[in-house]
Amino acid sequence: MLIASALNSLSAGHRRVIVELYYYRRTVAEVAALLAIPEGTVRSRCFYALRALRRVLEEQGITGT
Amino acid sequence: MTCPMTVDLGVYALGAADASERVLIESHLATCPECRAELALLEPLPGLLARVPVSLLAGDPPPRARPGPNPRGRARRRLAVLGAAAAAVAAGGFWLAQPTPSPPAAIILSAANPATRVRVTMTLTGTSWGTSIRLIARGLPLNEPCRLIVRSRTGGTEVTGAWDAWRAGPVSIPASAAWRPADIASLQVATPSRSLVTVMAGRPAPRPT
Repeated sequence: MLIASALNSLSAGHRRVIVELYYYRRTVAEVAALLAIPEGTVRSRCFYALRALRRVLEEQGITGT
Repeated sequence: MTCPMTVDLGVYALGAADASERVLIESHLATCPECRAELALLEPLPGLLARVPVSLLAGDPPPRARPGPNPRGRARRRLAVLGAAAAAVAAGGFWLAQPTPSPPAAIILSAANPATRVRVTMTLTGTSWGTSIRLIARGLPLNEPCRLIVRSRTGGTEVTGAWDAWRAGPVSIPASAAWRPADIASLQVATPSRSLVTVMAGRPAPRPT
């Protein structure tokens, strides 16, 4: 499954933030507490994780607008 | 990337922003082409993520089951970086979906449910990966978690988009689905306990006023 492998190609820290926020639907505050990092770091990590994911998917020809 | 708010779009695109944060971001989007462009690139991702069972992902700690829909707590957080935009929100600013530069045959669907008094307009735009959805809803119950559920003509279901409305008035939600617009049979807005409104595809409604 290409999307799963794209996700698995992310760094563990990036993947973890996506998993917690998207799949487990935790709040930013909950993820920050869980990972013992500032909320701002959760936000920026989420953003850069999505950017990285998009880049991987684009290389696979999956996404694009 | 020069706008300091751009990094907040990741949480927003995943549907993980709380209600007040979402309003601030939407207010900001109205005035920031850079963030609008960035968001357009992020919007497909939730629909793609929805296709992946979390069990396929390389795990860190074993996932814990999420105890049901998240209660009210998340709606009360502050977002310092967006505080400056609050004045604009207080002034009543609201960002309605901007048409994409050259929308490739967008399908616009509308529906209303007299029982719940929820009205929605959905704009479905075909892309190379599926369908980009812009949902504009009015009359949502306040402070109840809502979901957009997309069903395909082949029987598939995707839950895409999650929010809770905290004030009356139109709410604009970005969402996406992995199917082509022609393969989408219906779109439903629902809380965990009840359906609010369902839009059947294939019967395009008149353009919204």
